[in-house]
Amino acid sequence: MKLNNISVAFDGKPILKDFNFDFSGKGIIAVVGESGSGKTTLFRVIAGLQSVDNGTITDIPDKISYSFQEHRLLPWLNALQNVMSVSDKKDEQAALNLLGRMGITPDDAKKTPDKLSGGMRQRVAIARALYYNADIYLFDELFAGLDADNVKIVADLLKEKAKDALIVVITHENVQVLDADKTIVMEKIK
Amino acid sequence: MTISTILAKKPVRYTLITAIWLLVWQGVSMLINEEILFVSPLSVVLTLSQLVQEGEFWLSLFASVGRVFGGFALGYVISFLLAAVAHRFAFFKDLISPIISIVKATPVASFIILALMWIGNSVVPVFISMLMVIPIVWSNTLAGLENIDGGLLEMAKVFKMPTFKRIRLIYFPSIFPYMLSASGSGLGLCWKAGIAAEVICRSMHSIGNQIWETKYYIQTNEMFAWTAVVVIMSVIFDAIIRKLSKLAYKRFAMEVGQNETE
Repeated sequence: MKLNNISVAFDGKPILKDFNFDFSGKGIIAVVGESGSGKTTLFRVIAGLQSVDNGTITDIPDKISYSFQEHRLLPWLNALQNVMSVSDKKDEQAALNLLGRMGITPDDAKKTPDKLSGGMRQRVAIARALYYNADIYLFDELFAGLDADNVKIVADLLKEKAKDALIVVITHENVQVLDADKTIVMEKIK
Repeated sequence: MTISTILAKKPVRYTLITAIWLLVWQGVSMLINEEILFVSPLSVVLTLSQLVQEGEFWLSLFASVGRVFGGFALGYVISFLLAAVAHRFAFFKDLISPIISIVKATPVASFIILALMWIGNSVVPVFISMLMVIPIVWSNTLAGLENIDGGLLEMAKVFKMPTFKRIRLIYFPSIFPYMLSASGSGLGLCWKAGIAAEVICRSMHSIGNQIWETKYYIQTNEMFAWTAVVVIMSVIFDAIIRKLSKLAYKRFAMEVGQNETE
């Protein structure tokens, strides 16, 4: 996926200006930058949720997976159902294994999001994104709310996945744990 | 076992509440001591036990249930579809909204008299029941649709969920509480207005016609008995709809995984 001279403005205030990047291949890309520098807007552009004012997007992949900053889990489904809801795959064992690796027990997997802690909800959202077979995986505020052990677990899972797909991560902390192949530094447009 | 633990059990609590109100009813009737003005619960039970032995009772009961429930179902489907289209097209919403406001504000008696002039008297109760449910389902469906979490819809878009799956996993569960609330209050109104229409139209084989006759022959005990039948029917149908809706919710919206059908 190539972003060519992408510009996005909200109410006349530029958020992205002439942004260029080639999101192709495999590996991990870390996106860092201060609050308001357009990191989430960039993700929304990649995911097709944000239209651009200028520029072109080429080589758009068929499938993109996205772990949102606010989890966006379906409140009426349990953790396991949430993970499985995004795919046509009906591999319950694979979903349970993924949740298990994230430290979500089979008992917790039967709980709805309101019965889970913030950190657990974050891990379920990450598991949901990983369960979906995509070419590009987007993780917004990947490590938010995760303790040191879970940061390590999630980073290892992502590194594993990065062998077959492109992982793009927004994070403010623990960038070094990811061992990213590339880093995009976003800056606020004055 | 304390009183509060005994009262915590639903069957005990409801039996006690029913008993209290029956006692109050019996007390008031004993105080008035005029069966023609205020019938005792015992008298109502006795009258009902006689009525159920008559073929006309069942004919009237089933015909009224058919009319009221038919009107309710028709109104529910029509207003749901109207609201779904209105949610999609703002112009359509603005176009239909004044009509809904008129239906909501117009006295039901005016509609009954008008409908009596337009259509046959056995169809009027169906029409009136339908009319009563339309504003409630319209506003509840719209409220439900407008309150759907946009974030979840974006999530569905990113993961390329097919339309049916979006309806099943996001739209349906989001609007379900609104629809359930609409069916509860809508059905109650349908019974009230539908039976009122039957009384005014004197529809053949109907609870309304039976109530009209009790007034004509001053049979207060039968009037109370028929009213009790309406209340019981309303409660039973409300319970059935709630139960079926919840079953449908579990079957339709909660199945993800092995039994998923698309």
